[in-house]
Amino acid sequence: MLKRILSLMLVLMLVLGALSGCASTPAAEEPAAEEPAAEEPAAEEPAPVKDTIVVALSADITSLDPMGHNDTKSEKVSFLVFNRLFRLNTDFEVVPDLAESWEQPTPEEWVIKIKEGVKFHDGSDLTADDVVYSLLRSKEMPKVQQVLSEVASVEKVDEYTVKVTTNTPFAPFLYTLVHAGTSIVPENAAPAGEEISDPVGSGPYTFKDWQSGDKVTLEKFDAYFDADNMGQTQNIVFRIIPEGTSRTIALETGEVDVVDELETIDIAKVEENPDLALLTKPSTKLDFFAMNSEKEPFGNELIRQAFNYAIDKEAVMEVAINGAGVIAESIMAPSFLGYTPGPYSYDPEKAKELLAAAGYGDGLDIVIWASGDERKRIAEVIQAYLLDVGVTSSIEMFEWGTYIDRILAGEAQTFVLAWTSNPDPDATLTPHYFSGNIGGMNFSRTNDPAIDDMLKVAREELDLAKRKALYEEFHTYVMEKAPIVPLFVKSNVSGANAGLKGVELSPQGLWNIEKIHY
Amino acid sequence: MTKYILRRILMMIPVMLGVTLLVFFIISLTPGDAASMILGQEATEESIAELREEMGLNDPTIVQYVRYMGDLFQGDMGNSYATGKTVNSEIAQRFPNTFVLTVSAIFLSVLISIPIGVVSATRQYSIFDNVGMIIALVGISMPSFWTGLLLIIAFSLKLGWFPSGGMEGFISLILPAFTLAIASTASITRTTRSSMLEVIRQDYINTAKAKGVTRNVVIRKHALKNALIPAITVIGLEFGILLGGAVLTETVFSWPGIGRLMVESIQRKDTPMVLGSVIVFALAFSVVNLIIDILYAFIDPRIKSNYS
Amino acid sequence: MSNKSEVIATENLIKTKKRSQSADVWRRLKKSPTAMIGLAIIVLFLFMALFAPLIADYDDEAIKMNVRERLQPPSTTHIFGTDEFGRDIFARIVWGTRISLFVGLISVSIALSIGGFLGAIAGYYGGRLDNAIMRVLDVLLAIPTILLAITIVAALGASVLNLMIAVGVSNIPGFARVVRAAVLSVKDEEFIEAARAIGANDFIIIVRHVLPNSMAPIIVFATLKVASSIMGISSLSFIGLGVQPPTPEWGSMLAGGRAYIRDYMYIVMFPGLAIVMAVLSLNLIGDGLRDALDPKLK
Repeated sequence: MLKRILSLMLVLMLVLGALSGCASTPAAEEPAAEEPAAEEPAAEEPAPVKDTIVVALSADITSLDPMGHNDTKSEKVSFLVFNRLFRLNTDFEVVPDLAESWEQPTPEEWVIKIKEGVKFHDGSDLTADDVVYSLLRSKEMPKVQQVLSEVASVEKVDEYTVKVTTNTPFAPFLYTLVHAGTSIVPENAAPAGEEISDPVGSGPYTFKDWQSGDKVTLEKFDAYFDADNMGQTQNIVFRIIPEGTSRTIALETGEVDVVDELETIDIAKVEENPDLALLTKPSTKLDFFAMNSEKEPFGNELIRQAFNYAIDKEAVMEVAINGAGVIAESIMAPSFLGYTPGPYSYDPEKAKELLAAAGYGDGLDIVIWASGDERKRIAEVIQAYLLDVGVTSSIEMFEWGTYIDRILAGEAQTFVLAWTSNPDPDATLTPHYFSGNIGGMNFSRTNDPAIDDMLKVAREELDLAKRKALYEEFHTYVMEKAPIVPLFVKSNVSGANAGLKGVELSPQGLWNIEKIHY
Repeated sequence: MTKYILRRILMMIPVMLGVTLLVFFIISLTPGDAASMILGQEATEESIAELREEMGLNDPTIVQYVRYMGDLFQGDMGNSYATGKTVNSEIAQRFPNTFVLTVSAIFLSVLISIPIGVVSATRQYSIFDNVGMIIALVGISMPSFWTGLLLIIAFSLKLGWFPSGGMEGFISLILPAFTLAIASTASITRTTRSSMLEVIRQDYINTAKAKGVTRNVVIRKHALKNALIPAITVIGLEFGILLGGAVLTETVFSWPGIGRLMVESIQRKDTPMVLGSVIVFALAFSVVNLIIDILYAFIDPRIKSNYS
Repeated sequence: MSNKSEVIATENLIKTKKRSQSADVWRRLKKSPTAMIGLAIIVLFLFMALFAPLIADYDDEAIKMNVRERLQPPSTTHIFGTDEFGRDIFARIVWGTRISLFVGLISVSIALSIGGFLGAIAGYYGGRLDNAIMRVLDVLLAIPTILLAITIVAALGASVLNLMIAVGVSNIPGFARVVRAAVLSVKDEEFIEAARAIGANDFIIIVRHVLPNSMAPIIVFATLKVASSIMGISSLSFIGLGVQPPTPEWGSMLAGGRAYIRDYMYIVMFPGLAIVMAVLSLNLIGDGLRDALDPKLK
């Protein structure tokens, strides 16, 4: 009896095992290509060049439609399957992608000529009609509609030329065209409001398969128009591994070749491992401590400056992200146009002097708001440092939705927040410091006519060098007023197999994935 | 028998209706606005208001519930707020994975716990009995994400025997199924042991012994068969615990199942997906228990007579 | 007068019966070495919880961050080492005993009082009321406990109170069934008939006579459920819905430190062991009690 039961169970186990194999059949079309590959690094003989690169992501993509998402995971897939008119290089400069040349007949008009001979994955030609269709569709897709909100009209000039008109002179325009939401899809790919589920693009890789929660498989597109930027490896597989420790282990065991977001605690482990390579680059995400200038005593800039001296940013960064970043010295991450560091350093004596000068020499009592684990930790470190200069504080925790709503309503006195910027500085600075955005993203509720003027002028200045100078001036002025205490800019940290070539990071993480190969 | 089965199936309907009602109302208490969730941070107030109206989010919860049930009866569980994909397709893709994982775990756990339970009972209060039970109990006393990480470190990283995660055939099933299984060995062991003890003392066993049948044969041929009946019920109940455990195990082992889908959906405030996952979980749990009940009725006709 | 004296007599009878029974159970429990080990460990934890303030300072050692002393291995100053914020792990485990056991006990009390009440009246009155209550509870029972708890915490928000409510509510049907079964097993016994005969009202009968005499299986069940609640809370912590930092709770210490598992094993080893020991002990006690209460299994 017992034996029979046991053998029955063994059989069932095997059947289930086979089933679990079946469950992944669509991807199992090339198991022969994948499985030996996964074991190869251990082999002694000269291994054949791996033709599959496995990239570990921490979360699943949300959509295959380049205009159906606004997150950095889905972006990685969209960037490989589609092209845009322009793209960013690893230093965050705009470079042409599908665009051949462009000019501005008037400050509001952009005439863009696109490259000829570009083919979609289905073999059809990419023309101005596809560009017009795509940009107009982008304006209507809910997730990305804001990207081209400055665009008034898009017209076809000839087979390979389009003209875009903006509402006002808009210097950051080219930056908006690097967003995944402005990818070029074939004309009539799918009406706005409907998602593209079987994407056909013009990019270096074609879409093969998406197993929800498991992996996305892409295959090299041999007819890619740009021979210099061809895909280098036959297959790219994005595997979703939510647990940080598991991601690092998968990299160490060779199950994956690249880890997009490496757990910061595992940095040393990857660094010390001769088979692995570590890559880091400061991100565009700034963590900051904001002070509401409408709540006393933060209307007084001496107090705000004092806080900028009182907090040891190194310590905050150590606790929050295990030191995997750079301390922040201005209102944006260093990678942005016109970035200029402010004058502050950790100096509790100076902070005390300023507090005394502001009339709070015998102490001050404030409330710090926070939401979530990481912000709470940051708030706790800040609390400890403020105490050293005679400022006592209590921390109040909120659920995220409530937190944001009440901060926007101006109810918070001080709070901890982070902001990931779009590449053009204006996309961050105007929402954050323009007085018209109080009640919106103007978190510090800064109301300064000088700031408003500087923002407006810089936004409309089309000459890059002049614009850069304007932003430098802006940084210096704003940091003098100290609306926030910038804390740190987290680094993007990736780990890769040391044998890989062409792994690059931009401030937004893994970049130009098509160039990765063994 | 057919009548009994039909009756049990009919009884499931009000229960499942109750489950949808309960879960729908609990989830409607979740703070946060679906429309702004769908449109993202940078959406305008007007478009959010428009979408709210379009989705009927301004209606009372009960109206929304009735609408949801109307769709559900047509087999439509709505669309994900986060991805826009249909909940049906997502669950259809993910549920089989969870099913394979939990059923394998049940088998593993039976493989481990029945022998321990039987031997413990035949040698009651021996060292084996005590140690066996303690081992089974340690299994349920370890948080499964902790066990899972320790197993990955030992068996994937250090020994290299199994992949650390993902879903690539049979080999990748072993660690997660084992992690899940050890969480449910204790109660099956416990039940097997006590029902064995009960059976061993019964008259017919003594008779068999008196007739000179050897101890092992008595246990195998007579006692075990009868002792397994209560164990089967526990297996049904354990299935629920395993489904719950799948939530953690799937995350640690990057197993693309419905448990992870549910947790991720909760974190993304993706209500239709959470609702769909919980309903499917409850349905699976109920169906497994139904099957167990029917099996049970086959084995032990006394149960059936209670119903018909 | 005579009626009253009979009630008192019956009560005395139950009391003596109870006393002799519990003495008997204790005698049998003492014979189980595993149950006694479990009991000793739980008593130790209870002492830790009770005297936590004497062992470690809450604000200075368990809560306050000390960036300069982070991730220190066990030493004479920090016998379990320090965590990623430089907090003393030993102090946090000692204080965590309070939270973990407290949350476990309170959530079981919630489940026991609501589930017990429903189960008692369902079992005692039977019929339609029984049917109605049990069908409603079937709905709760159809959702796996931990999933129900996750859903409730997700809806209410993560806080110690909501956790206790969530874990408590999701355990209601289990308690209701156990209490109902226990009530059914004693409700036709002679002393209940006697109490009814002398005109005691239903409430008094249930509270004074039925429940005390059906307590044994309920105690066993509750012991096991405290254990599974502690586990459940650690699972919720893993998902980020558990006790929020910096409150020291074993499950959230374990979940929060899990990224450090490879280099700083002690960060997750000690809270993990605390959970394993507490849950294991409760299970050993529960199992021992069950055996001791069930004369058949002697």
